[in-house]
Amino acid sequence: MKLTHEKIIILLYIITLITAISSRTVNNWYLAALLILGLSAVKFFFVFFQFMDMKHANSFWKTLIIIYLVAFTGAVGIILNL
Amino acid sequence: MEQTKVDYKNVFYPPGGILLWILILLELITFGAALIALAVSSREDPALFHKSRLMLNVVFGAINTLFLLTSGYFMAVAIRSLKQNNIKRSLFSIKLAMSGGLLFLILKGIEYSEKFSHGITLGYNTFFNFYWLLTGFHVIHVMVGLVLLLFIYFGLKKRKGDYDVLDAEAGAAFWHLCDLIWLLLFPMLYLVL
Repeated sequence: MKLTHEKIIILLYIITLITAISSRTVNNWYLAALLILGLSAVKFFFVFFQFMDMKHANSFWKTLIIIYLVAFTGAVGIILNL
Repeated sequence: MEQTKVDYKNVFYPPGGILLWILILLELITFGAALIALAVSSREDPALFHKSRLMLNVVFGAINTLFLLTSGYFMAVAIRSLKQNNIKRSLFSIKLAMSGGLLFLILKGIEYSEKFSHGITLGYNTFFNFYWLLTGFHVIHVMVGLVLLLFIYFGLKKRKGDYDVLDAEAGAAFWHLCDLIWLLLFPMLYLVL
């Protein structure tokens, strides 16, 4: 499936709504926090990959951002005992 | 339209330029470190952070996320149109991107004034110190981004035939940086703690 800006923005809207709603509706805090952080990392990657056109960039930049995302969400997860 | 052919697969030529990408990485590391410090502080007094977080308006935060994402989408469309030599569409998309940024600032202003009216200012508690500093620096980035978009818009309008797409791409990369920062700030400040 070819990813276009239009498909990605719709996906980003849906993910944003899910994260906002789940913060108030999911009773299990650990599950909600994991879901929110995970989906936020996905949104971050889609903006980087599609809107910033980094899908055409050298894999060095993609690897760097994936390492950043894993390190950030991992660190937050560990600190918050998720 | 001046079209400089760039080999994006070359590690030294990411879309937007390597200097801007060094800046983007530094910004992401700085905001990331501040958010990790927020998480560490929240472990010292989880009840205070949770109570304070519930004082934030999630609806405002979510709508602002949609404003920035939409704005980023239109900026991406503007760059795509520019590469296709469709300057009219590109100009229109940049205008829409700027509108998204302005709407974000207006809603943020309303949110800030609500907090001020309740006496929640810098120094109120540790959570709100983080809130004001992180969102404040982000707002400054959005303002700088809007100025850059204005320059791109008028530059493109004035020099229709010989505008280098690389300049617009660099401005767009900075604008997307505002998206990226907000995509980290919103869940950490408004949703998780």
